[in-house]
Amino acid sequence: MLFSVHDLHVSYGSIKAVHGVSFDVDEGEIVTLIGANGAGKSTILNTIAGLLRPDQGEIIYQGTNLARMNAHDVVRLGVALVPEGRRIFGNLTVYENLRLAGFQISGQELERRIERAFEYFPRLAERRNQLGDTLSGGEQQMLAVGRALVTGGRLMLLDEPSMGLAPILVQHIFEILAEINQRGTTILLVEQNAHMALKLANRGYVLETGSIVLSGPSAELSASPEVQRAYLGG
Amino acid sequence: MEYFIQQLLNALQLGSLYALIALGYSMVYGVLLLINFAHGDIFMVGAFLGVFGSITLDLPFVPTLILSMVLTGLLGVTIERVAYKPLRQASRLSVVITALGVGLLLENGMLALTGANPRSYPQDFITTTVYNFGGVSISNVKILIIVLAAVLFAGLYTIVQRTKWGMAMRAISYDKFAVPLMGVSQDQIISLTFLLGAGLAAAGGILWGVAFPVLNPYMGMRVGWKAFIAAVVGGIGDIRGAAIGGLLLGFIEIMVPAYGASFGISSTWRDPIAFGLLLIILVVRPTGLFGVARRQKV
Amino acid sequence: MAKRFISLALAVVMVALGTFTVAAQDDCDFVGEVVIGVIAPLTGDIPKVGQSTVEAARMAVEEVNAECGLTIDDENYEVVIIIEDNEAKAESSVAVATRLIVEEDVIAIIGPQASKQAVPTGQVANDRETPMISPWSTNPATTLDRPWVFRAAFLDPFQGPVVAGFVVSEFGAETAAVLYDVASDYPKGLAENFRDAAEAAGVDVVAFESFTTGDTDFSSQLTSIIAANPDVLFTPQYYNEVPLIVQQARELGFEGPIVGSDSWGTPDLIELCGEACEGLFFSTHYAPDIATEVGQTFINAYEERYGAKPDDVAALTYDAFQLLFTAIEDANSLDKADIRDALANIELFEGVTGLMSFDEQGDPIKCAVIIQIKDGAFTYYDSACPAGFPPE
Repeated sequence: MLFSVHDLHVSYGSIKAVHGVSFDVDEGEIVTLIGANGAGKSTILNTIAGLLRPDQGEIIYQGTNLARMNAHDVVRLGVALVPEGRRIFGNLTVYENLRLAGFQISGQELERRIERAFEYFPRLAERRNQLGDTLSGGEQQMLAVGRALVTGGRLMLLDEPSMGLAPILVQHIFEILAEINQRGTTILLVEQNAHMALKLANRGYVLETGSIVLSGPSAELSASPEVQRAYLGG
Repeated sequence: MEYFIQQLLNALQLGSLYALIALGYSMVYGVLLLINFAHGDIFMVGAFLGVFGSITLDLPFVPTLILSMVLTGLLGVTIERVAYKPLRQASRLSVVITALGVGLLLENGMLALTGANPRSYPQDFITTTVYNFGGVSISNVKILIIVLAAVLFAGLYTIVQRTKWGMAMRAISYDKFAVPLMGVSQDQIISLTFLLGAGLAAAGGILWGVAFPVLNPYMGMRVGWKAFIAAVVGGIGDIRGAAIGGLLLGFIEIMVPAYGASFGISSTWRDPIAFGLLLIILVVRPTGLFGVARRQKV
Repeated sequence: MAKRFISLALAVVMVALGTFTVAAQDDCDFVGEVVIGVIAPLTGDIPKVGQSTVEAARMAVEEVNAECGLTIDDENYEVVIIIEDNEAKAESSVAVATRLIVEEDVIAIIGPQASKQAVPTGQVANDRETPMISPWSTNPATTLDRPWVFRAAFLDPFQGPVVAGFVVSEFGAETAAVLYDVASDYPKGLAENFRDAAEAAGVDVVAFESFTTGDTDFSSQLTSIIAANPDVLFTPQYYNEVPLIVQQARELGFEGPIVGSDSWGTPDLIELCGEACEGLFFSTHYAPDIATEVGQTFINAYEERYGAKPDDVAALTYDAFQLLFTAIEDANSLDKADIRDALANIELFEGVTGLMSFDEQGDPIKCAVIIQIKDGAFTYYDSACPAGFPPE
């Protein structure tokens, strides 16, 4: 088991957003959390990444509890988050964004990882000296994934990578995610677009108002009438 | 012509000093969106640490400069850790009031420590030599100030543009949220920003003390305000803006009395005209010469 | 340095405590107190002036109390002073003067020193009908049409011609330049007086440049001055500004003499200015080297007490106290109006700073001296007296 979450509770002030969520991810898997807006998906990812502190619960990654760690220390362990809304640095060039993502590494290893990001996304290589602000939405999402590749994840957390993108671009990015996964990176994907997510993932969990209501292999979830009705427009 | 060149040199000297101080305001604002109103007083402490180095420890110029830059830099870091960090989530007003309070603490602390009598560096700290080129006088002090300020700015610019630390500083000013996800400790970058800003203010303080050898604990107030205005006019948050804003303020402050008389304007009008011109710049470009409008993020 | 700091610290503590009662003889049977307010710049731009004020005031009061205070109707009154800091600011000065008069009910005020504070404060004293003596202010406006306000120093309209005459006789100056603080009453008044006197003496004032209080960079004005090529530069500024002006003038290539006025006369000037001020001249109120017997007694006592020679502020403050004591005893009354009348009627008074008499505005008529900064000390160079003074 690469990664597991036990009985996670998170709140914003007095408002509870996540009530006792547990799930796990095996090495090499793609696992997706699907659910409606406000179900607590982003909250869970941000908590794993160290941006939020849980009220209680454990986040075990390779035997280490991440629950009380700072975000920049979580990164050091090989967990990279591609945040919702991409959050690329618009005042930095494409290259600088990638360089900054490799803050904790240097030398050849750094260059190797940046080159790998450019291999996955040749568009970024063409625009390496362009400012982040000048990129299109799709390019920005590529850059956000590229940064996570440089940060160097064994575990990549993706928060709504399809948001705001044309279907063709979503298709393209999901293909690359599959490729990244095949080359050994475990992926935890949060999506509103349940259709795409379940197509990509091995397994999934369905989240409703902060609790897991359903889980199972992707094919099983896709076939389930509840999921069909609520998330697949069926 | 000699007259103009002479005044231009005067303006470069004054402007370089303002620029060194303005950089600290701009960097801190860029990273924290905080106007560090104690910065002028940090500059004052830098100048007084020069007195400590040159008189108490009897050190020559360069070691005194380095000592003051390092100690003042650490003071800047400490102020951030102790006074500002606990208020990161607090309202802007609380932080501004805290910054003003820190400034008063430094001023009155220095007053208690050294007394109200003005101080100066020893005679042999920098022995003044005056060179004359066809009617234009330039002293080694002026050369030192202009060159050192330029070198320090170039160094800072390189750090900000070329190193990962500089990239992190720029990244924080764009989007604080995503920075830790890059494996960057925000606190470290903020500390670095204060270290550099306060260190440059200390260099400004020592050079100021060499040029204007009457130091008192209140010296930072007035100079600090002017440098702050320079930073705003240049476009606060941008270090090139701070440098240009500082030079521009120095230029206006020198040229108004220099040429005002021929237009029947007495030198008393220096400040009103200088600040009037700066106001006009802000009316035309509200974000300053180099500033970009900050997009509001949710 | 440490010693000076301690005495300043003491002064600040005294202010904090409000009043300061000097230990008096036990057998004097004091029947009451004479409360006098002192307003001095203990902090701010010119703290040395404040320190000298406090030192001289304490000495004057201790001396008089040791002699059983002031005698009124054959009864002894102890002198008590309340020292207030005006931070070298006009507005603070007005505020503390009002407080002294209204709340502390002082019988008279000694101070403020600099004209910038003395001019507005004089208005408060005059309006509230309380005698005030500014020891050091030389601007005419301080006492002008204010029957309740007096001073111990000579006036700028006298000092201006003294300096103008000196630059002609000493340097044969034909052209002169002036650099002064236009926002401060004393330098502004004196600069104008000097200009008028110099022009009357046939000296062409080729540059008349100004700045405002708090400025430290004078390079622009000095460059203009140097471009006008004057024989001499006159700058009636304070000891914290003179080093900046002199150093910058030299750096910009001005080689002529730089001359000043009584505001230069604080020994800290030499410490701050160093070599650059060596050989320069200024006019002032007194020179310790030519003191009369009265002066010498004071200088010796002061030096014994504080370990340094008294500067002109200390000497004038001490004289101001003696004038006030004389007037109170002459009036033989603690009524403020009687004291005012007695002050106005003092005919010829011998103080530390020499003989003086008073005109109808409450201004003394007295001699000035020219001091040269020589071997790092203020050294007597020459004297200048008004016509027909002192009387034979």
